[in-house]
Amino acid sequence: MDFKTPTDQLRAHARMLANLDGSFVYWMHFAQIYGELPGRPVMLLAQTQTCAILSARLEKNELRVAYREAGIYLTPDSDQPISEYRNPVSGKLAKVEGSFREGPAVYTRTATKDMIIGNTELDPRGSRPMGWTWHSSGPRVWMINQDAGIFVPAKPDSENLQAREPLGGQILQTWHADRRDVENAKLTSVPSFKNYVVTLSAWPAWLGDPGARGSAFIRGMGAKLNAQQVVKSPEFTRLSKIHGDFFAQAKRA
Amino acid sequence: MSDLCNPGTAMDRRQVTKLMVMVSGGMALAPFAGATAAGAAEGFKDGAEELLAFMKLQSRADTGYTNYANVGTVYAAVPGRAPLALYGYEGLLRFYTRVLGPNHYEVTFIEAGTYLDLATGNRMDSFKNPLTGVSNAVDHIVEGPMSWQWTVENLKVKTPFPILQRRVEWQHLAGESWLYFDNILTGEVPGLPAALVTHVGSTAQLRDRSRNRVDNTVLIDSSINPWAPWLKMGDAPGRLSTAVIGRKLGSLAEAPDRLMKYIAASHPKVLEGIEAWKPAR
Repeated sequence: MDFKTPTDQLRAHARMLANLDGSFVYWMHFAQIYGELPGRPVMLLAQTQTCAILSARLEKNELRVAYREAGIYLTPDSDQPISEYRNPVSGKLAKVEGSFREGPAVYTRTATKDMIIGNTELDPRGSRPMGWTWHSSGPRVWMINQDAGIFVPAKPDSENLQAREPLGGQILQTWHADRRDVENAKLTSVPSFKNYVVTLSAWPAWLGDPGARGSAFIRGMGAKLNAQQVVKSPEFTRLSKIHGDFFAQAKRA
Repeated sequence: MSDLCNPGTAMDRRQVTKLMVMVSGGMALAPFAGATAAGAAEGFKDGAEELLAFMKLQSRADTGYTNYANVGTVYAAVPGRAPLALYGYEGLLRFYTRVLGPNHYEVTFIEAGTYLDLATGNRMDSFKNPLTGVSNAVDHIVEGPMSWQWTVENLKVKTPFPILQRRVEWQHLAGESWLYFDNILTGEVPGLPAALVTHVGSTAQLRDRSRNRVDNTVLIDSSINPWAPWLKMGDAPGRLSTAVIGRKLGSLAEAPDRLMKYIAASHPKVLEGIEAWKPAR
């Protein structure tokens, strides 16, 4: 891709992420949560299915994104929701909340600065503003971006992971879309997909004490859907049975 | 990533290869013992259809070569610290697929590549390890050849057995198909790497019975590896993680010039036919 300025690149990203006409877009995500403990194999702990609703505004050099998401935890080896979980280290069985919600939250991204997440501070160490790389593969264009740093929760338990201390984190996202769509400046929303890996320096607290300092990473994919597509999606129907009020509220917000 | 079983990229895993060959008794060409019976899979009517899709998306379902141009970054993950980008990577991954019979394929891979300075994007001869402050000579990648066989039975190994836990999962959404292909060492092997590779491509091409391959597949390698020996990290806690994407090429002519020149000079046999691929060990 031939971007003349960082703002051009930001605009392309914004059209892949959201719809610049102001309407909501939906990102349907599937992911796996892996746990790491010293001296043990990587463990697949759970899977998640999530729907994020977001809207965005691009003004001058700043992209402002409002989002919220709701999802469910699934067992590691099926698409069945989790209702109880056996700690893979202690063996203790615990009842767990099988669903989760995040947001509403806002983050901004500029053409020249780091991502700033609403309720956290992001240490710029390790982060490379607009250090995005673009690649072509046939008719598609792929973009990799990373954000890394120390996330400092604004208040205890504000995150699902209930970090009690600053959380080292990294978000690596690989976006892709049809090159013709990305190059078509008339499109305010580009049909897009992404893969991501979120690396966290803490063990997921909802799984209980692992008995050692652990870490976790989340690996997943997402597809951007518009309102017409999402209501036809069986995944959204499933999530709506649990989070219907949340999605309705999101659309009113 | 374990090249015994996983046709992804070959980041920092030569020592893992040796260990896996050792613990598996050198049975790289045999179907895995302990494999579960394959059944219907996500979006496929049966295991044979899933195997065909696996071959088409990852490489090809007929005899011939598949080439990927890979590029990415290697990170250090140290407990309590934010992941730290160490160096870049650029490599060529080649497969040769041979159809042995109905629902039976042999795939041989070979890979060569270089580690890159993040600041300049150029190949590194030495690397100042920011975690130790010591400069090390860089040990670039040449991997393989190594072969394995794919059948309906050995595509999935869901139940942990002493060496390996394999996970093959699919998602099909909005015209794209995702193949998650994870191989996690679970045995008494130091380092405990996990090969986590995702392949993404067109669902329409995957479903098209007239096609033997999906064009333009992209692989995303999110693998976890122990410290590369040349980093001289000793027993320091932590590990490496990779963030690599690979483009399935129409032909070798589409590979980056710089990479091709490097391989032609350093590992010319990689660019030749499979007959020239001699075991590196």
